[in-house]
Amino acid sequence: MKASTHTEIYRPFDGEIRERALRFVPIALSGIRVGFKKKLPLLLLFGPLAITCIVYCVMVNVRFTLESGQALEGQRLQAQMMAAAMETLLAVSKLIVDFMQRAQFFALLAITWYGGGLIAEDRRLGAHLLYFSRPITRTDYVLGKLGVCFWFGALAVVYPVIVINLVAAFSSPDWSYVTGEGDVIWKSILFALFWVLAVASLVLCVSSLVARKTFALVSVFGIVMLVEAVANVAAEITDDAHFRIASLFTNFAHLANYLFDRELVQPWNPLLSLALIVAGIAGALTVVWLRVRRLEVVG
Amino acid sequence: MSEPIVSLRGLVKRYGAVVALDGVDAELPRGTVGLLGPNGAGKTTLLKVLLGLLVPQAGEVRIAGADPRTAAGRLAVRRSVGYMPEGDCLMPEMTGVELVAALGRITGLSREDAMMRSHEVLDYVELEEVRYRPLDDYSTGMKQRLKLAQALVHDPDLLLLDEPTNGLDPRGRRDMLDLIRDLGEAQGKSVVLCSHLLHDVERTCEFVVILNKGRVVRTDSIAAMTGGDGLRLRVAVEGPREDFARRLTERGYKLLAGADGELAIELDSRESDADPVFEVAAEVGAAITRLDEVRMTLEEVFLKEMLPGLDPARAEVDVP
Repeated sequence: MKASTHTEIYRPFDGEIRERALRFVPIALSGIRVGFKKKLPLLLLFGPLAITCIVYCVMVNVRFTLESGQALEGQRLQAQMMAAAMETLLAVSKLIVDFMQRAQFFALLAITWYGGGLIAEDRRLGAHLLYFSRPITRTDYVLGKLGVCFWFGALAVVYPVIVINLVAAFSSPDWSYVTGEGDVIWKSILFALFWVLAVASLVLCVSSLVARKTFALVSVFGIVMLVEAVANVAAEITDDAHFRIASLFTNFAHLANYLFDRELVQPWNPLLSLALIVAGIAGALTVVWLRVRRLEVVG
Repeated sequence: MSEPIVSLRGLVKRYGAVVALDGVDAELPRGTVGLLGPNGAGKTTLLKVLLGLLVPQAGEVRIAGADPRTAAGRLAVRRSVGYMPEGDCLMPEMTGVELVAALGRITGLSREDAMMRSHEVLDYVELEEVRYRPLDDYSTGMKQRLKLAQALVHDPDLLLLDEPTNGLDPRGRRDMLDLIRDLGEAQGKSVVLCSHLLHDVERTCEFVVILNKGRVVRTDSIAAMTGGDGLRLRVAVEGPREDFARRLTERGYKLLAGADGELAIELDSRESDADPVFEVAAEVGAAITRLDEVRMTLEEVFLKEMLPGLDPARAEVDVP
């Protein structure tokens, strides 16, 4: 059974086509695999984050080394000097929030870099036809694409937070971090996941609205930076901090302060920040849903 | 006839004021079916309706026993159908083997099966040597074959191929058509081949649906279409040619334009052989020196259906 011009035969498939519950997983995995192909962006985006994470891990380790009094005589002086210099950062929750605030620019850049083209480029190339000629729903498609954003966002924020927590747990004497500050572990991981979800939703929303990955990059940064700038400038000019409620990152910082029992510097209720972020996520995902509906099936 | 693999009844699809499908009724049998029509006839729209990518405003559609207008039906259809889109729809950062395996996984194949099938179908379409190259480096011919490979990865019973020879050079086109013919004839797949190239359809298909302005203008097997309405003969005679022609006309047979002094005759659709022609020749004392059966080309059939007023093969001649 050969085509006359071809040397290879067609082999019928005798395996099984399964109906999976998690049909979005292969979509996400193929997107993640493609993301890992180019090494330079990985290095440029995640290199600084990795270095920052290592620095914060060292700081956590120093704190517990000092606390346990295990530092050798020769090292004690250095450790005390570091601790004195970073006195305000010694609580692990503070360190984690501080890490996230320092990492958020790179994390935003990473999520936008890897997620900005996910829907835009599919639509531009017509690749959505390849997906939607398969037995998947638009929910699977959206979850698959969100999974890609989420993975790279997690790589930028969630995994470092987990690593810092692990270092704290293993460095603390008699597991005092786990027994004494255990709530910081789950709160910080949940907070990081929430941060990634919010940014991933925003990036995917923009990707569904623009025609190219580059447009998505420009648009996401344009939106975020413009809103940040306008909110802060308006707050400064009018001397009314309420204007900062429009800022995504200010809302997250406010929420973090509330979550980790730190002093609240913004005048509004932190739950309002939470509600605004949740509403933003819902709005972004609704836009994605509507845009993807037009890709899958047109009524 | 066995149960049709695609059944359409009164299918209507509009894009605003533009009517893409205007009450399409057709039953496509198993085997290789050509969807023919000029650009804008509604071929691609029909394929997308079959896949559930477009929802018709009215009418019924069943494909491989499922209704693609419902969510459950869409999934069932997509499980048993392989689709090769028209455009350049490939993700450039992937390699050939990655793309086909990923789409196999999305269809529901296990990781091992998807990878194995990916290699098998890439071998079949002769992309085995470029399977690890990024798609950026593929030529148009390779991309077309890769699109066919991804449609085959889950070994579907029915293939929907949208302009598979677009952009191919003559050799690439021949190879692609050979593959399609092999899939239909040797592998027993049902194929719906959407094309505006008559030659492609004539070379690969057994059955044709001709669409024009969103309507089905004709559906039939190619053999029946090219056979014409009645038996057509090209005849060369010696002797009283004028008497022979006049007598044929008196019997009600049509004389059509013939070349080099020959007569082209269309017999009644009930006639299955050339006996009446010999009878007339004997009556008038003419000798038939040559007699050939004439079949219409698909192009003639197509032109006849598209432009009923323009039918060069059927132009009647004056009786001499």
